Amino acid sequence: MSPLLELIRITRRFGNLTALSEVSLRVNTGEVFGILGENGAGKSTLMHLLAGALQPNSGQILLEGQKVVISSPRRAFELGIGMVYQHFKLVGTQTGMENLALFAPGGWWRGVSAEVRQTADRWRRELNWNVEMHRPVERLSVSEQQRIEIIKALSLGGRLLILDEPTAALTPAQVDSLLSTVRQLAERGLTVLLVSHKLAEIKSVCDRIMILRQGRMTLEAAADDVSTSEIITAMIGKDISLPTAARAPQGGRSVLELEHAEPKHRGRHSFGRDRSVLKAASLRVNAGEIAGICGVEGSGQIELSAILTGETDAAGRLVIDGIPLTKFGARRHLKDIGVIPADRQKEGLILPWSIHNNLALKAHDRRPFSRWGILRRRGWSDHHERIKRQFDIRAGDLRMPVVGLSGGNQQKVIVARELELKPGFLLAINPTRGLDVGAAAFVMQQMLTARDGGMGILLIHDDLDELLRLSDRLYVMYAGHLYETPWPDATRRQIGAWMLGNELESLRSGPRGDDGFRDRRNGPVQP
Amino acid sequence: MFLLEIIFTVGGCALAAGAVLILLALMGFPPGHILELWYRGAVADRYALADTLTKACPLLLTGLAAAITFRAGVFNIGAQGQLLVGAAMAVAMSTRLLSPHTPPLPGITMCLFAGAGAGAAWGLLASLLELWRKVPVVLSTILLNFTALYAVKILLHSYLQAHGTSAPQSSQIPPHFCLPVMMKYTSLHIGVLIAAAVAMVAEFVQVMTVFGFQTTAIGLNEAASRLVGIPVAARQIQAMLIGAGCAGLAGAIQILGVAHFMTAKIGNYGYAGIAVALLGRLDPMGVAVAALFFGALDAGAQRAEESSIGLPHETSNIIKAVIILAMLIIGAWSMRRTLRSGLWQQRNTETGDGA
Amino acid sequence: MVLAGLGELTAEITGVIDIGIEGIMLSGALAAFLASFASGHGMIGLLAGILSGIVMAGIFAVTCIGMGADQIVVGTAINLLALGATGSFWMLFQNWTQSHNLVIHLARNEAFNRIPIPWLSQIGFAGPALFDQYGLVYFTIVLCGMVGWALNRTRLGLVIRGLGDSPETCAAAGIPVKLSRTLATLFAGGCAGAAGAYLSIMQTHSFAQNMTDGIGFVVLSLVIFGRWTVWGLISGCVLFGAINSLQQTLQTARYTSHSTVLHAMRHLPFEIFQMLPYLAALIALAIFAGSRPGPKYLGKNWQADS
Repeated sequence: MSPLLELIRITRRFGNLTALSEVSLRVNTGEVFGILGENGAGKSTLMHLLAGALQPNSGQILLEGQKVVISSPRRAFELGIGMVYQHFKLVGTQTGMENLALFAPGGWWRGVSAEVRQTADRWRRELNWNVEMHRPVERLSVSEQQRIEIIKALSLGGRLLILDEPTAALTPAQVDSLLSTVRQLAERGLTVLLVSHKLAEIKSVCDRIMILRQGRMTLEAAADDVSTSEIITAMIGKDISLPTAARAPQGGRSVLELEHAEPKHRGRHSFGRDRSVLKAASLRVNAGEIAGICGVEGSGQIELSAILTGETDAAGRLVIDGIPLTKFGARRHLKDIGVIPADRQKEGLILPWSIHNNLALKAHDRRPFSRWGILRRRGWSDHHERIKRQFDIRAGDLRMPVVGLSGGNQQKVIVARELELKPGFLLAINPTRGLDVGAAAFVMQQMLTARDGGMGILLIHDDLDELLRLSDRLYVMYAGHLYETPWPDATRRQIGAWMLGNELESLRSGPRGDDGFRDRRNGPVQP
Repeated sequence: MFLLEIIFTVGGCALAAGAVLILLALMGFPPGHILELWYRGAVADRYALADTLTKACPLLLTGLAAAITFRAGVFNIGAQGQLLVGAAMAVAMSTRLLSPHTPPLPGITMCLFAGAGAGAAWGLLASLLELWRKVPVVLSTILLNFTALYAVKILLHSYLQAHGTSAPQSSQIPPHFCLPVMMKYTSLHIGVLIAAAVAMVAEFVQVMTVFGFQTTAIGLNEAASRLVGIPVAARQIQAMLIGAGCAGLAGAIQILGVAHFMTAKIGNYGYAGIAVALLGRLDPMGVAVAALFFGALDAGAQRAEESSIGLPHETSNIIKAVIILAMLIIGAWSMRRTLRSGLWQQRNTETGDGA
Repeated sequence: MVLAGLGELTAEITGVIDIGIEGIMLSGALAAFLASFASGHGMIGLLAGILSGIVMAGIFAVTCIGMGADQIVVGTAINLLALGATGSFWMLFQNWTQSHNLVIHLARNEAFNRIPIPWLSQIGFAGPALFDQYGLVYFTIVLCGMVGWALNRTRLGLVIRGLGDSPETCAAAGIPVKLSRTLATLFAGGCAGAAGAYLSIMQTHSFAQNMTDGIGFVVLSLVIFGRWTVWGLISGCVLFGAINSLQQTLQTARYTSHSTVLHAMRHLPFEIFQMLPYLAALIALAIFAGSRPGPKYLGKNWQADS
C-alpha cells in the first residue's frame, strides 16, 4: 500500500535563500507525524506548500501514490488536505458556522447549508466537543476558535489534517485535551501532520517525527526510537563551543527594571492573535551589559517589546534609567532610549526620505540640530558625514532617499541613529535579520562597542548563535514566561532544550543571579 | 527625482488640458479661440491677472488646509465646513459683535482671527472625536461639512439675517470692515497678500522647523515616528488646528474681501482645495502654484463663458478633475516603482520562511 | 437613495469606501437624462445611467484597487470630475437645444410612469405612498430584499463580509480578493448610477447642475448610521426621508395651521431638521465607532504577501 502522502525531493527557494532543500518524506494513513525545527528551519514553507499557498521550485508531491499539483488553497481542500494555521484564518465578526460555510465548496447562493451543518455536527459529535458555533468567533476564547478551525479543516479536508503550532496559545490543560484529540483522530484513520517547536508534545503524541534544520531534513525516525538528546542535536546541530563576547558582571547601575509586567487586560475579548502570551515578566538590564532573550517564535517576545515601546499599556512596574514609568502607555521615554525595531522598513525608517533626515529623526529636536524649534540643517552635514564614515554606511550622497540603500546599509542608518545619542538603554529586536554576513558582523560589533561604552542593551533575537555570541546574560522565554539562565556557564544544547520547554525545572532554582533578582522568577513550569 | 516629479506634474497638466481642448474641438468649439479667450481672461493684462489672483486666494488657503493636514496623515476633508464656519464667524464679528465705531485695522484683524479661530475649533471637533471616540476623521469631517452648512443656514435665518428680508442672507458688512482693494476696477483685495504670507510661513514651517519635520515624518510613516519618540497624536491635532484655521481664514477673507455679505452658497472652495493640495504635492509652494493655476483656469473660463461662444465655465472643472486623475495615476505608479525597487533588494536578502 | 446606499453598503462591507458616490450619482443622472431624451425611451436612459455609474466606479476600481491609490483621494477626485463634467455637458446641451429651438423636457410618457398596483394602492393612507410608484422603486425594494438575503443568508454574503473584515481569511479560502472587491465597487457604481437616473428621469423629469446636492454624502453617512446592515440602512433612509418630508410639511404648516405647537415652531429654523441626519450620524459614530467600528479593512487596500 502506498503512503497517504509522499514528498519527493521538494525544493523551494526565495530569491537567494533556499528555504527547503530536497526534502523527502512519507506519511502513512492513520499516522501522527511530527515536524520539528527551529525558527526559519523551513517548517512553515513546507506547510504552505501542502496547503496550496506556495508552489515548490522542484520535486513532486504524491497523494496515495498519485502525483498531484496543489495549485491553490481550494485544490488542497479538494484533495482532502485541511490546514489549521497558527494565526487562525477566521472572520472575527462571523459565527463559527458561517466561517465554515465561507470555506465550503459549492454555489454562491447557498447559505449555511444543511450539508455544512451536518458535517460540522458530525465532527463535533465525534470529537465530543461542545463548541459554540452560533456566536461571532471573535467573542470566543482562543481554544474555542481553534476548535472551530479544526472542525473547519476536518470538514473541508477530512483526510490529512495539518496543525501549525497548535499549542502556542493554549493553557496546559487545553494542550492535553488537544493532544488527546489528535490521537483520537489518528485512531479513526485520519492522518495528522503536527508542526511544532515543542519537543515534549511532539514526542508524546507523534508516531514518527522529522526534523528540519536550515531547510534540510536532519532526522526522520519513529518517535519512540529517538532520545530527546538526539532530537535536540538534530535540531540545533553539534554542540560546538562558540566564541562569546560575554563579560563578567560589571556591577553597573540598572538601566531597565521590569517587574511583573504584562499587557493590561481589557474587559473585552480580543480576536485570537491579539491575545497576549506574555505573563508577568520580570527582568533587569544593567549598564554595560547585553542581556539577551531567546525563545522560539511566539513565546511572548512581541508582547514584551510592545510593552517596552509603549505600544500596549501594561500592568506592572517599569523603571528605565532610574525613572519609574507609572503609566506605561506614556511614550515620553522613547526619546531617551534607543530602539532598533524588528521591521526596519515599516518601523525604523521613513523610506522616501533622505539618509540625512532619517539619521536626524531622533535628534532633530535637540541642540545643536535645532534651536527654538527651528532646524539648523547646516550643522547636520558634517555631523552626518562623520557618522557615515564611523558606521560605514555605503551611500554616495546623504541626500539620496534611504529606500535606495541595501538592507544592510538601511540597518546601519538605524543603528547609527539609535547608538549615536548614547542612550543609557537600547532595545534591539532581531538587529541582524536579513543582513549579509559583513553587515551583520558590523552591526554586532557596534553593539559590543556601545556596551563597552556603558550602554545597557536588551537583545531579543531569533538567531541563537549570534545571541549567544553577544549576550553577557541570557534569559529564556518559554510560553510567555521568562527564566534567567546561567549563561555563559551553560551549553548551547542546554539552552536549546530550555527554549523548547525541557528541563526548565533546573532554572527555577537557578544557580546565578546578580543581586537577588533571580528569585522573582515567575510562572508555572509546564510539563 | 524631484525634477522628474515636476516634469511629470506639468506634463500631466498640459496633457489633461490638451485632452479637454480636443474634446471641445470635437464638440465644435475652436481650440485656438478658446485658448485666446483663456489667455485674455487669465493673464493678458493687469486686470486679468488681478482676477486670477483674487480667484486663487481662497483656493490657496483651503489648499493649504488640506495640504498641512494630509501631510501629517490626517485626512481632513472638512475644509468646506471649516470655511463656512469661519465665514459666518467673520460676518458675526463684523455685523453684530463689533461696534460699528471700531477703527478698521483692529476691526478687520479681529474679524480675520475670529474666522480662523472658528475654523480651527470646527476642525478640532473632528480631531477630538477621533482621539476620544475613535471616529475616523475622514467621516467626521464630511459629516461636519453638512452640519456646518445647515448650522450656518440657521444662523443666516436668525441671528445673522439682514433686517427686512426673509432670504437666508446676512446684512452687508460695513464698508470700513471690508478688506481694502489694492487696484481700482478690480476686486483684488489685500487678503491675497495675507494668503501669500500664510503660504510662505507654511513653507518655512515645513522646511525649516521641528514641527514641519515631525508632521511630515508622521504622514510618511506613523509607526517609525512613534518609535523615535515623536508625539504623534499631539502633532496631528496641532496640524488639524492650523489647517482648519487656514480654511476658516479663507472663509473670512472671501466674505470681507469679495462677497461683502454672506449666503450659504459661498462656493465649493473647500472641496476644490483638496484638488489644489494634491496637485501641489502637499507642499505649500506647490499648493501656491496649483492655486494660481486653478485661479487662472477659473478666470479664463469665466471670460470664455461671457464671450460669444458661450463655453460653460464648468469646463475648468473638467480640466481640474482630469488633471487630478492623471496626477493620481502617475503618483500611484511612481510610488509602486520606488517601492518595488526597494523591496526587491530586500527580498533578495530577507529570510523567506513562510509568509 | 436606498438604492445608492445599497451599492455603497456592499462596497464598504468588502472594505472599499467610495466617497465618489455623489459624483457617480450625478453622472448617472445626466447620462440617464441625455439618453432618454435622445432615444425617447426611459429604459434606455436608465441603462445609460447604470452604465455611466459602472464606468465611473471602474475608474475608481482601477486606480484604487488596481494601482493602490488612496481611496479617499480618488473618491474626492471623482466627485470633482463628475461635478465639472456634468455641469459643462449640461450647459453645452442647453446651448445646443436653444440654438435648435428644442424644448428640454421629457414628455411624460417618455419617462417611466408610476405603476399603481391594483387593490393595494387604494388602501387608505399608506396605499398610494407604497404601491403607486415607479417601477424602479419596486425594483429597489426587491433588490433590498435580495441584498439583505444575500448578505445574511448565502455564501456570497459571507465572502463579501469576510473581505472587509479579514481579507487574508478569504485569500486562504481561495477567493481572489482584489477581483471580488472590484466587482463590489462596480455594483456600487451601477446602483448609484441608477439612483441618479431615478432623480433625473423619474423624480424631476429634468436635470440641474449639481442636482444631487450632497445626497451621496448623506448616503455615506446613512450607511455608517445603519452600521453596515441593510435594515439599518433602510431605516436610516426612511428616517431621513421622514425628517425631510416632515420638515417640508412643517415649513408650510407652521404658517397656516392654528395649532399652538406648530405655531411655536414658527420660530424654529427648518434647517434644524435638515441638519438632524448628519448630527444623528455623527453622534451615532461617536457612540458606536469604538465598539463596533465596521469593516476592519474599510478604506485599506490589500496586497497579497507573497
